Amino acid sequence: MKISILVFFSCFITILTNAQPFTLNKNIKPVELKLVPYKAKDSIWNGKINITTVAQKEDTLYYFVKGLSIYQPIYISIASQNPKHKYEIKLCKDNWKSADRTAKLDAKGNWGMQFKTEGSFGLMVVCKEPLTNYKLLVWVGKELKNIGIPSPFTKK
Amino acid sequence: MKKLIILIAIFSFTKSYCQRGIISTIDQARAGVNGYLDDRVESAQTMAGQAYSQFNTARGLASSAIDFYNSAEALSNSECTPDFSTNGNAVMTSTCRESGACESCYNDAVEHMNTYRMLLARLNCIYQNTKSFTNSAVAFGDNVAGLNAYTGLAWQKQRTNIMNSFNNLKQTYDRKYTEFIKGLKDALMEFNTCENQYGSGDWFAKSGFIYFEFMKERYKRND
Repeated sequence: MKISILVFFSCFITILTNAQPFTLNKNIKPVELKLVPYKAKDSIWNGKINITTVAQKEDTLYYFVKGLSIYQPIYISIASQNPKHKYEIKLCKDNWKSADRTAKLDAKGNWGMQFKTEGSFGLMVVCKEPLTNYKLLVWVGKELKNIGIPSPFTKK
Repeated sequence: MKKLIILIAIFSFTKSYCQRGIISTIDQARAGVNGYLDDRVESAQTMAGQAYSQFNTARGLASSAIDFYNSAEALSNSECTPDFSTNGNAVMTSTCRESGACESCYNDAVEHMNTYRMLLARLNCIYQNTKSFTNSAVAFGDNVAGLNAYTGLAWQKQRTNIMNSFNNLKQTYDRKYTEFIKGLKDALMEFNTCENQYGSGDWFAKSGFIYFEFMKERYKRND
């Protein structure tokens, strides 16, 4: 009876859901941000992580993360080593053309946000500078079995 | 001849240098090379620098991962998120809830029930999200494909694949739906056993049945 929701769905999802936002543009070649196991000092933050160091020379880079459950917390952050560079950050779900979230770096060159989603998501980093350097972090928590769902009971 | 060779060499070098110049460098930290992300938090911290500090700050604001999760919104406004609300008419009664003696029996049954509630809600969201993705991709592709014949042909192949994949999803949904609804009923019957033992008899017929029918209807695929 002990069912891992993640295990239950893992094969199912890889077959059925899109791995990255849709495009017919063959020039868009997103890089998968592969998640690796992460053990935190406090085990409640255990999960998976990706840390990527980027020297971006193109105008736009495309990334995607897959294998996510709607019951997992997700955090993504970017820290630029060139705080004066202007970045346009776009998080996309269904396609690259219409971003679901857009953001810019703060004055210190940082940006971060938490969210939840099912399946996968895409990230676009746009910077018009000839070269910009940044670190990209994606953390995905363990799938939560108890998210405090409302009770279907009433007192008699 | 010598000059030509030198010219070709210079040209090749310049070309490869220029090509390298426009390609970005993307280095992903990999576990398994030396396992630094598995066991040594400090390594991840050092590697990610400020990006990690931001993560630390964000999680410092939450009391737990559940709190962190619940304060997060879905990425897309149009994305389906699990809905656990219950229709007022389908809310179940429980006498067992107020009795300490049946707590263990009750908790196990409710845990099983909640597992299936979560599975059904997720299944439904996967279906709704994929349906929305499919519709959006097909509409986009149909628009673009009209622009020229070559794109049109390539798109028709992709369109068929997308539609086949979605039709397979429908079958999988129905199969999983049957499985999870059965699991939910089993959990409700577990609860019924607890109620028979500690509370009112015939609980499923009086209370659980209406909830079960509500859940069956809510998650039944109707397209």
